[in-house]
Amino acid sequence: MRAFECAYARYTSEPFALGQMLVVREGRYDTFGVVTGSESGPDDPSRPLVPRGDPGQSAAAVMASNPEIELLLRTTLTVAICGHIDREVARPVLPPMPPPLLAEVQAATNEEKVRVADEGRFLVPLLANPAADDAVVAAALREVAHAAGPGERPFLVAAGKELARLLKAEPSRLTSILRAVEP
Amino acid sequence: MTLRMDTVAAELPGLIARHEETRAAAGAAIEGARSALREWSDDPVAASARIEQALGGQAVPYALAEDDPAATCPAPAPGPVTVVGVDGSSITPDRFSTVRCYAINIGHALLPYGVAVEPSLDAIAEVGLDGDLLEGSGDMRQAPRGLATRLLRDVRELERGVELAVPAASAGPAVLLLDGTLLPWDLHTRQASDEALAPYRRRTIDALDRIRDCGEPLSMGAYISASAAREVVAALEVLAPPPPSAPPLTDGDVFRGLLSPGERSAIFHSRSSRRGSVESLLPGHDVALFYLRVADDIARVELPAWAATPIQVDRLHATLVDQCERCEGYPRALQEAHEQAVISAGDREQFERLLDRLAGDAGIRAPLNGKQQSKRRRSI
Repeated sequence: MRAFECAYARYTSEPFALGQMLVVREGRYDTFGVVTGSESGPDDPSRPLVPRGDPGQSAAAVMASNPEIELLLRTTLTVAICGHIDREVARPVLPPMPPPLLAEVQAATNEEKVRVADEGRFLVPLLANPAADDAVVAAALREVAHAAGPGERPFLVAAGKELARLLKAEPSRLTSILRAVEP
Repeated sequence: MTLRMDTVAAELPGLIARHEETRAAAGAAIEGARSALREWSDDPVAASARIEQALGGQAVPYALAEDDPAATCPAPAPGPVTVVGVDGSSITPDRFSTVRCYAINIGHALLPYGVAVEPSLDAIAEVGLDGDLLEGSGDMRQAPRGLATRLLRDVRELERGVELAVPAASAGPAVLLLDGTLLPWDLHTRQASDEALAPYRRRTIDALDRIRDCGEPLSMGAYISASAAREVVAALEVLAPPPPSAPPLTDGDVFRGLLSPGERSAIFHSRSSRRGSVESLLPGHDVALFYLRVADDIARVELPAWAATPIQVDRLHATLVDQCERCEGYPRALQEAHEQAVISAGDREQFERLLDRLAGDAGIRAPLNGKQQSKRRRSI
């Protein structure tokens, strides 16, 4: 309910970024979440990835000269749920039920990001998730601020106030996140 | 643990010592065989005539060289190529099963190197009833258990190779690799009727014809690691009969000292009576072969004689050496095809349980026989 995992069909060197807001548009609600981690490795754990390529050869060149590698690896993401849209109403709280298994996960639009973030209220479910560490929270704030366009500054002010309210007992964490949000 | 390790461990040192004695005795025999190879090389026409006169028409399988039998060829540099590897695995119909059903899983790896082709690793599976294997008017009911499934699997491997390699060859040079012998040996079996084998024979011919129609853009090779074949040795024994006490040699024993890593031998043509029988069933598809040294392994590579043109052989040779360098001494495309094809013990058990459950849902229940029931329960 608080998080889900999703995977690419194979290895990708450029997965969704840390803190990026994603959406699952299937099920009763559109479920939104923030990327908290990314991991790539062999699909078959009994076949470890061994070093390949020559000294000085780039990863892209190694992949190109060993075309099977990308097919044998997979990139997975962990996503912390931070809100949902229920009948056109954006709610920065956990949805009543999880998104369906095997549903497609997509990048949220800028308009969706701003609506779900709701002036920083999406920080409540996000901070409650242990996987959303300081780097994830700061990246998510930067992402929404960027999506807000001309509303970037007002969003950061509102979100900063919300963050201060939620972390009044953890001043050092608050400082850490705010520093990481600064461009 | 049911194997009495204390018993076998005591026996092993003696076995190893006996093995060493045999190896030492083989050294002289190998030297004799290489001397015979030099004699053959000095006068290939006369020596080949002697070999043919001695072995022609006999049951002993042997091989004749196309040119100099002692020739060694270094690997050409690999060029842009699409490599297609195909391998198969199967589940034989279980006579204890409620529904006697076979499963065949054909895996492939399609790996482009410098060619604009999409890579792929995948497998296709098919299932059928035991009775489906009894095609035409023939009957395989009397054939040994598993023969029909194995034959169908071998033919499907070849057909799958055609399905993938022929389109790949239209986009650029391509190499089709199979694991094992080029021709399905079971086509030659006397344990099934000609009528029963005819459909498999026809499908094999159709597949080979399609590969031949591709011409020079497509090379083809069947790769046998650590082959125990001794067709070249049989020919050499005509020229220099080994002492009666000499241990039997393989072709690999002879070529191991002749070939450097990456080198291949001359092209030979198989002349075994068994092979001849298969070839007589597959007119126009004679088998050529060469030996290839990969690290310490001497691999046997079989190819259709019509695919033994210099361009096709050079491409096959270069590709095999490059593929083996990528995969610790075995072609990468065959390794990945195997990984796609393999049916694990867990898969087999799951397949059996699924079949039993679905049969049970359909109201089909076969009484367990005593042996099966006892094995499943394993009670004390």
